[in-house]
Order: sequence, then C-alpha cells, then structure tokens
Amino acid sequence: MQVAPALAEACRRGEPEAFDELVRSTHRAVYTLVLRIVGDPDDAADVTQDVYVRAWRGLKRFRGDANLATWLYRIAANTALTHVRRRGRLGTPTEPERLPEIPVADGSDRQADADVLEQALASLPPEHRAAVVLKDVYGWTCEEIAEEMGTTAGAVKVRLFRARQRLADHLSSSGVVVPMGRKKAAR
Amino acid sequence: MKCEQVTPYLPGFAGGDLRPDTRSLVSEHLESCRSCGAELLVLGRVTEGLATLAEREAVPPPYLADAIVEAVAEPLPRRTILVPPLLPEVARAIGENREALASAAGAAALVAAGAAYAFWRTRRTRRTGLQSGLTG
Repeated sequence: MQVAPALAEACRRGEPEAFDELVRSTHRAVYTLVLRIVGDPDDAADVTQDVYVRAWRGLKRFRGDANLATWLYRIAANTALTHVRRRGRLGTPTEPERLPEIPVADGSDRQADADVLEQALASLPPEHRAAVVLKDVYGWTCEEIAEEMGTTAGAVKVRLFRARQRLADHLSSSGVVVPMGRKKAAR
Repeated sequence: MKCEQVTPYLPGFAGGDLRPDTRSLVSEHLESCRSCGAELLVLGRVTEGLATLAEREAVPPPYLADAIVEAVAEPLPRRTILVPPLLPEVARAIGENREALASAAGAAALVAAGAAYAFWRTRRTRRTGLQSGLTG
C-alpha cells in the first residue's frame, strides 16, 4: 500500500476530498489486513470503517514526516486487535464462521502453499494469528507487534513460533508438502 | 543437542528470529539430523508462503468505500444530558410566586443554619462533659 506524499499532506491539512481519495485507494489493503486478524468478513468491514473514522479524527496527531500508509496500518492492527479482545471477553466464538475470500490460485506450488496458508490462518487462535500475520505477512518487528498487543517481544515470539508450527502441520496434513521422517515436537 | 530440544526453536530458525547463540546451536544440530531438516523445510515453506500473501488482497464488500466516506463525514456524536421537563403547572406556579418562593427559601436556609448550630452546640457540650468526667 502506497500513499503519494501530496495526498498524505492534503489529508493532514484535513481536506475531505483528499481523505475520500485516500479511502478509495487504500481501503482494500486495510480491509485485507483487518480480515486476516479478525477472521470474519462482516466484522472486518465494520472494523475497517472504524479504522478510517479513527484516522480522520486523529489526523492532527499524524506527523508529516511519517509514512501515512504505515500509520494507517498501525491504526488498522490496533483496531482489529481491540475488536478481537473485546469479542473474546464477550464470549462470542473466536473462530470465524466463514473463511476469508481468496483470489483464484494459478496452480504453482508457491500459490498452492499460499492458498492453504490463507485458509489455515483462519483456524489459529486470534492472538497467534495476529502475531504471524503482522510479522510474516506484513514484515513488522516483534517489538512493534508487542507494542500494539500490549505485551512483550518474548510473548510475541512464543505466539509466532506456535502459529508457524501449526501452519506447518496444516500444510503437511493438507498434502501440499510431504515431510520425510518427521517427528512431532514436544509442545 | 537432541531433536526434542531443537524442534521448539525450528519455527524461529525458519523466520530468522533466534539469537545468534541459539541459532548456531540449532544449525549445528541440523547438519547431522535429516528429520529436523525435513521439518525445517516445511517451516521454510510456511514463512515463504506467508510472505507472498502480502501481495494478495481480499475483496471488500462493494459498499465499503462509500460507507466509510459517509461515516467519516458524520459529525461527532454530542453528549446530551437528559433533563426531565418541568411540568407546566409547576413552572407556572414558580413564575407567579417567585418573590414568595425566594422569601420561603431564605427562611428555610435560616432555620437550617440555626438547627445545625444547635446540633453542634449539643455535641460540643456533651463531649466537654465526657472529657471532664474522665479527667475528673
């Protein structure tokens, strides 16, 4: 997701037309990030809407030298994590009822892995899913994730490692890869 | 190191998230263990596969962009304090007898102040009596 500097500056000045353009050019990427964390398309649409409302109201706090796309992603991750935590506290199911919408695969191994992984992500506990999505899909550092999650980098690594292991198990059991002489880790 | 000791670190090894000392221990084990090597291969495909997901975008509902723009344009909800409306009869009575009500309120304030003073004097007298009884 890229935001042109001129557009970012116009948004910072509070120009509604510029923000409108920002929404239309970035909402797909933001929705995708949110969907990967919350797991449910309907919830993801609601959370995405909240992300932009928060962004619009917080534009005055946005520093001009920072990257608007990164700032928007941070709000998205924070809002999605808050939603996941609130949903957990309310006792509603954390597992999604429907799987995220996935583009059609082109048939390559890499694509097949990606297809299986995208679906397997939905089966992870929300906090594990958030850790692995932010680290391995979006390239955040463990420290950045820890800050958004309100925890330590060590705790993020534990979630991350468990998530990767579960995804590897899923990849193996789906038949996409057949590991040789594999032993089960004692967890 | 045994496989049981190494396997918990393989997901971190695959993503390059281990400390250098731990990483070298795992590397050493991997040189001679085919089983852990196979496990690492799958984990490597996981991290590589996840990285490719960044290029993919889900399809949001078609109404979403418009809904966001509308939500952003809405003014902030104002905090309202609900005050029950005065009954018309009460309001009229207050309006007609404003002077009488002011006098009554003043008199009530004077009576309340007097009662408070009397109460304070009573308590003070009793406490002084108790103290003199204890000391005397």
